[in-house]
Amino acid sequence: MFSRQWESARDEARDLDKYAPNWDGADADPVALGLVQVALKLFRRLETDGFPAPDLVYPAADGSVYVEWHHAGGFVQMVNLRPGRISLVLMRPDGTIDPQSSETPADVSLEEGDAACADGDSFEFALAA
Amino acid sequence: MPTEPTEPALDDTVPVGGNEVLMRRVLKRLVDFDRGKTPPLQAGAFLPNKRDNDGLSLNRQVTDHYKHFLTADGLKNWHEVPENIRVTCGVVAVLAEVARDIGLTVNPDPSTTPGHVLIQEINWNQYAGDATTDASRLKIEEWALQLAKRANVLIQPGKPPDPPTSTAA
Repeated sequence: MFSRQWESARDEARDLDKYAPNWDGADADPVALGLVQVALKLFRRLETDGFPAPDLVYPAADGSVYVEWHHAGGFVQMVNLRPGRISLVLMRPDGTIDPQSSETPADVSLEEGDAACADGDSFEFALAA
Repeated sequence: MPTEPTEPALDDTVPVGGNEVLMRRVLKRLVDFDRGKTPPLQAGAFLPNKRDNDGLSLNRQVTDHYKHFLTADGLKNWHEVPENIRVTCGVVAVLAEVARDIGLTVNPDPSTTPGHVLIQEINWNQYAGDATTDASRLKIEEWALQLAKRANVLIQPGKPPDPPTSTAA
């Protein structure tokens, strides 16, 4: 059902590797090495779990990657992927915010067994909420 | 007893009024200008870049300031902005009171450009610089998302801006 949207999201993620240094005209870093692959791994896991494709995938000036889901009713999920770190900010329709940050779960990290963390389950739970 | 100005400020000695529109030039790749989302903008529009050391850089949308904002690169108007910039940049807008409502400060900083203002809490150093922590970064992401929720697109990439609503000096 979501495969087309997921393919579009994967294309957007792959495009992030094309950003050269100073891509924003303000000395931005290129997307960190391997981070696109981390994003693609995360996408694969979420797609397998039946999660809808993200609405937006874009780079940040520090070389990290943002992924946003904008759900009906104003519920927003914003994930930031950095080397070894992943954070999540949830915005509820009433505007209240719930931020979380943890090491990148092992099954999303680049290297098997890298950065296994106790918070992985809670992160996954929050993302799927 | 002094009160906040109800009319657009005409110089940088006037404090930023709550009803003033603040603008930020944003690369198209950081904002999906075309999709009707709620919030209409993504947080990327209000995340700091490496030159936002002293805070998030915005400009006041009042007569002269508006012109200076669009002519910051020495160009006379939006039509004269090179095509490659017009198609890659847009302008987003948010009310000053929105920033203040979520605990941010909005102060004039005309040292570089007339009408320039800073939201000092959203700065590069605490987002990804030497002073960053998980907590400080998350807080800045929260603020960016909250601003995006109540912001709008003022100028679509590739399109000229509407003329300022007040008369030009």
